[in-house]
Amino acid sequence: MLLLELVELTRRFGGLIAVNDVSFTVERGEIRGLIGPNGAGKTTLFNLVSGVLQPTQGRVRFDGHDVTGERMHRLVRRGMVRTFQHSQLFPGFTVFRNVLAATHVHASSGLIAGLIGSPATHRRNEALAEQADEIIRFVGLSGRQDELAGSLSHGHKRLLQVAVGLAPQPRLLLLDEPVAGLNHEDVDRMMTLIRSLRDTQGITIVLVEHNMKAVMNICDRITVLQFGRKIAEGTPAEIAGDAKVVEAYLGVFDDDDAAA
Amino acid sequence: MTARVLGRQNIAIAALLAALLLVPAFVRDAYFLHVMILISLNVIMAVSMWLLGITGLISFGQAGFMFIGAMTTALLTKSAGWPFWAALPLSAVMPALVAAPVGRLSLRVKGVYFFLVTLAFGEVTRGIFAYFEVPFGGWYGIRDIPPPQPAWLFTTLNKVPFYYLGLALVLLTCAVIYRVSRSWFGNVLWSIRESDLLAASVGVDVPGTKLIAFIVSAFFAGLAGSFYAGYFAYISPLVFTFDYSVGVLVFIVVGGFNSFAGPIVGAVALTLVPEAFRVTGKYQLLAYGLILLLSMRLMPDGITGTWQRWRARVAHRPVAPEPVGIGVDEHV
Repeated sequence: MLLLELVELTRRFGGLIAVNDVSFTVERGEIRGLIGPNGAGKTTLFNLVSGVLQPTQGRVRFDGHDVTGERMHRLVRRGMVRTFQHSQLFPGFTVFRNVLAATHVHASSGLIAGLIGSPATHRRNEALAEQADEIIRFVGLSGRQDELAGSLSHGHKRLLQVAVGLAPQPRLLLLDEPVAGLNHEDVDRMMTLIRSLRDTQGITIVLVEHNMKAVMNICDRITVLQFGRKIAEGTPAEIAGDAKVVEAYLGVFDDDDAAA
Repeated sequence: MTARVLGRQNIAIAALLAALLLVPAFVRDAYFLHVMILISLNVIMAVSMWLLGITGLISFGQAGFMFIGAMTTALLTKSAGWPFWAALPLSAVMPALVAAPVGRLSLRVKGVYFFLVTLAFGEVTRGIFAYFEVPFGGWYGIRDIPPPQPAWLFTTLNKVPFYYLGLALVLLTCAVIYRVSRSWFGNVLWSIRESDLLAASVGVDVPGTKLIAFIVSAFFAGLAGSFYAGYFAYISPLVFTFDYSVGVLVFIVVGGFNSFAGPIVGAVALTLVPEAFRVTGKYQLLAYGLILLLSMRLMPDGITGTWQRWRARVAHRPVAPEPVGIGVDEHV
C-alpha cells in the first residue's frame, strides 16, 4: 500500500533548479533513506513534501489524497510530521512542555474553549499530558521532564526532537538528519529508536541522512539525489554497488583529477 | 508548597481587590481618583498589547485601535444619541472588526516589518480621523461627548463612578486575558514565540493564531478607547499617537514581559512615576527618562522578573522555568 507518492516534483529558485523532476513512492511501514551529496536538494525535497515550500511543478499524494502545496499545519492533521535539520525545539520550555505543546492537534485549543474552560476541555487536555509523559518515556528521556529543552545535551535534544515529532501521532515521519552531530553511542540509540517507531507503532519513516553506516543499517530502500535529480533507488545493497552513486560521492577517477 | 503559594497569592489578590473597592470611601481627592482612572486605562492597554506580545509581536497600532473605539463611542453617543452603555460594547467590536483585515495583511510580515506596518496603520487611522472634519472632527477632535448614564451620577465633578467603571473594565480585561494566557490557546502563543517553525510543524496554524490574538488585543484597546471618550468627553488625534503606543510597550518592558503581572505592574508604576515627579516641574520628563534608563539597566527582566529572581534566590531554588524574555534588543 502506497502512503506517499511524489510525481515529477520540481522546484526552481530563479535560475537554479533545486529539485528536478523527482518521482518516487513510499510504502506503508517502510523506512526510506534519502541520500545525496551536499546541495543535492534533499532538504528542499522535504520542504516541498511537508508544505514549507510550494513546488514549481509536480504533485504530492499522501494516503491517496493530493496534498500538493498544502500548508504544513494542515498536513500534520492528515498524519504527516517532519523534523528539522537543526534542533528545532521550544528552547525556553521544559522537556515535558515541548512534547505537550506538540500534541496540539489533539487538544481542545480554541480561544473560546480556553476562556470557558469546561470540564470536557480540561479532561481532554489532561489526557494529552499523560500521552506526553508516555512519549517521553518511549524515547528515553524520562527523568528529564522538567529540564529546559535549551539546556539539554545535543544527543538529548535530538531525542526530544523525535518525541516532539511523535506527539501529533503521525503515520509518516520525515526526519531531516536525525543523527547529525551525534557520537557513535547516540547514533546507535537513535537508530534503535527509529526502528522501533516503525516496528512497534507502525510509523512510516523517510529520513535524510549523511551517516552512511546508519542509513545502510536501517533503511529498507534508499533514494539517491544528485543536483536535484534522482539518480538511483533500491535496497542498501543495490545502492552500495551502484556505479552512478559511487561516482556521485567519489567523483570519476581520471588523470586530470589525479594531477589536480 | 505550590498550594500554599497559590493560596497566599489568592489572598493577596482578594485583599488588593477589597482595597481597590474601598478606595473612594477613604480618598475623595479628585486628582488622586483621576490618576487612578488613568492607571485603569493604561493597564487595559498594556494587558491587551501583552497578549499579542506573547508571540513576540508588538503592535504599534494599539493607539489606533483605541482611537477607533473612542471615535465609535463619540459618534454613537453624541451624533446618534445612543446611551454610553450601548456604545461601549460596540466600540470594542468595531476595532476588532477593523483588526481582522489589518491583521491578515500585517501578520504576513515578521519582526520589525510587522512593527512598521502596524505603526503605519495607527498613523493612517489618525490621519483619516484628522483629515475629515465631518464626521470625525478633524484636528480639533470631538468635544462634549455625553457621559455615561445616568447623567446625575457621572458628572464632571464626581470622579467616583468613573473610578468604579474603570476598575470594572480593568477586571474584565484582566480576567479574560489571564484566562486566555493560561489556556491551551495561551500556551500556543508562548510556543509561537519560542519557535514559530516548530509550532507550525506540529500543527499550529501560526498566522491564524496570531490573528486571533491581534483581534482580541484590538477589542480591549477599543474598550479602553470607549472609556476614555466617556471619561474625558473629548477626543482628538493628538491623544492617540504613536508615542502612546510606545508608552504602552514601555509599561510592559519595565513591568516584565514574562508574566501576566508584568504589564499591570509596569502600567501602574509608570503612570505614578511621572505624577510623583510633577513637583520637579520642567524636569519631570528628565526624571522620567532617568528612571526608565535605570530600570532597564538594573532590571532587564522588568520589575516582575527581578522580583521572581530575588524570591528564588531567597528560597535557594532555581527560577521557575518560565519562558525566557522577549529579548528587547532583538525585537525593538
